[in-house]
Amino acid sequence: MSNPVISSAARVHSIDPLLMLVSFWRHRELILTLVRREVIGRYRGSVLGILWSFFNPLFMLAVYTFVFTVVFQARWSGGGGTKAEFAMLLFVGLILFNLFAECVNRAPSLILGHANYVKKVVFPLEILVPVTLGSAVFHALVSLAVWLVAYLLLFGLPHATLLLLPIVLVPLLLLTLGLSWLLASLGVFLRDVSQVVVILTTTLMFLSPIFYPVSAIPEGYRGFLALNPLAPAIEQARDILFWGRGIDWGSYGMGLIASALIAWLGFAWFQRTRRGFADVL
Amino acid sequence: MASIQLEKVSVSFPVYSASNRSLKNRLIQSATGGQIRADTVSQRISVVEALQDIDLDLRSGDRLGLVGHNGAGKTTLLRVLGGIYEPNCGRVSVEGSTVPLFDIALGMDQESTGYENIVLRGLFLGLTRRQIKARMDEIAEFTELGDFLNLPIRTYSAGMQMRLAFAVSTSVVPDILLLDEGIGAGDAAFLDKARARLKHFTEQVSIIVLSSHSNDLVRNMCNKAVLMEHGRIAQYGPTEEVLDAYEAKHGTYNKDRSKLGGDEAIAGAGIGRL
Repeated sequence: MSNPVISSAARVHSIDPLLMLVSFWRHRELILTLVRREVIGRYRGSVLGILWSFFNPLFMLAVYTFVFTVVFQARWSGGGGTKAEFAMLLFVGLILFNLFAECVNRAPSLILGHANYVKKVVFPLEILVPVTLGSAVFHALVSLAVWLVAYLLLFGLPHATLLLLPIVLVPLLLLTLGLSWLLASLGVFLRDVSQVVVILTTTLMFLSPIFYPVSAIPEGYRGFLALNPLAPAIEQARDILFWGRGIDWGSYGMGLIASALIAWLGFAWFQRTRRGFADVL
Repeated sequence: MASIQLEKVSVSFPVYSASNRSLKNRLIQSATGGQIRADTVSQRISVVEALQDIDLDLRSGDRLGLVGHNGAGKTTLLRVLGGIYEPNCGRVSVEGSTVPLFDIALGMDQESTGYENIVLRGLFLGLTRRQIKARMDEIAEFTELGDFLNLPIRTYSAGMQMRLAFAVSTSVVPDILLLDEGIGAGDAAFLDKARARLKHFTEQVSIIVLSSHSNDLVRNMCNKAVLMEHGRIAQYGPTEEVLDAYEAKHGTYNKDRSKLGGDEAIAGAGIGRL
C-alpha cells in the first residue's frame, strides 16, 4: 500500500501555528457572521431577547452572593468585609469562569452537531471553535458592562488599570481555544467526553479561586492551585479591575507562553485527527 | 485549466461498533504516517471497501455522469473529489476551485431573513462579503421573493426556500462542480427560469461530475459516463455506450424507472430532483 498523495490546497491540514492566524484572517467574515447568528439566534423569538444576557449573570450573582455572604457568612480575606465587595470580586471570577466553561462544555458536541459540515461540504471546521469563543466573549462583555455599572454605583470611578483587561484575557482565550479544539476532536471519537467535561468544569468552578482569593487556601494546597490554569487569569483580572494593581509581567509572561503552547497543541491535535471525522460521523 | 486526475485510488471504511471508535487507530495512523490500517490493528473491526483502484482523468469541458446501484460508490467518489474523504492509497490531484453542491441549502438558518441567508450561504460557498453584496440584487431579483426576503425563512414554503438556495448556489461559477442527483428548483412556473439559469451556470463550469439514478438526466448533461459496481469502475466511455450497457444489464428495472420519472426529468432538463 502506498501512501496517499494528495495535491489540493483544501486537503492539506497543516499544523503550522501560523495557520491558526491565517485561518482566522481568511475566514474572518464567516466567523463574524456565524458569531452574530449565534448571539442573536440564542434569544431569537424570546420576548426579552438579548436582555437575557444581562439577567442571567445578574441572577446567578444574586444567588451566589446570598449563599456565601448571608448563609455562610463568608468575608473576602484582605478586603473590607462588605457584601458589595464580596459580590464584585465574586462576579469577576464568575465572568471569566463562565467564558471558559461555556466554550469547553460545548466543544465536545461541536463537530457532532455539525455533521453536515463534515460530510457534505468542504468547510473550515477549525473555525467552529473560534465561533463559540466569539459568542462566549460577547456574553462576557455584557456581564462586564453590568459589573462596571455596579462598580460605578457602589464604589465610584474604576481604576485606570481596567484598561489592561484585554491583555489579561489573552492567555485565558488561548487556553480556551486550545482545550476546545482538543475536546471538539475527542468528542467525535469518544462520545463519553461531553459527560466527563461537564463534571470537570463543575469541579473546576469550586477549585478555582472564584468564591475565595488564592490567599485563602492553606499553604499546603497552594501548589495544586498552580496547576489550575484559570487561577492566574482570575486573580489578575481581580487585581486590575478591583484592587487597582498592575500586572505581574513575570508570571503573566509564563502564563502567556504556556497558554499559547496549549492553543497550538490543541490546534495541532485537531488538524491531525480531522481526517477521521468523516469516517465515524 | 481545471483538471481531475485519480490514480489507483482506494477508500475503505472501518466499521466500528458504537463503543469502539477509531481514535486509537487514528492516532496510531498519524504516528506511522497512515501505514497501519485499522484492520491490522484489530481483527474485530470489519472494513468496507467503498472504492478500489479508481483511475480517472478529466479535463476542461468534461461532463461526467456516475451511474450504478445504491452502494456502488458513486457518492463516495464524489466526496473524494470534493476533498471530504481522504483516499487510503493512490493519488488524487484536483486543480481548480471545487464546489460540491450536495445540499444547496447547507448553512442556511431558519431564523434568519432571506437577505441574511443569502450572505450566509454565500460565505459557505467561499465568497467574501463584498462579492455577495455585489450579487445581492441579482440574486434577490431572480428569486422573485420580493418583501419575503425581509422575513425569516422559516415562514417560507419549501419551494420558496428552494428558490433562494438555488439562486445563491448558482451565482458563483466554480471550475469544478460536483452534483449528487441534480439540483432541485421549486415549482413549475419557476422551472423555465431556473432551467435557463442552470444552463447558463453549467455551461460556464469547466468540469462537472454528476451522480444520478436518472439515466435521462445523465444523458442530458454528460458527455462521458462511468458505471460503478462494487466500488470499482465497471465501464468508462461515452454516455450512450455506458448507459446502454447499464440498461441492458438491469433492463426492466431501469426502463420502468425512467418511464416513471421520465417526463419530469426531461422537462427539468437537468434540474429535476427525482
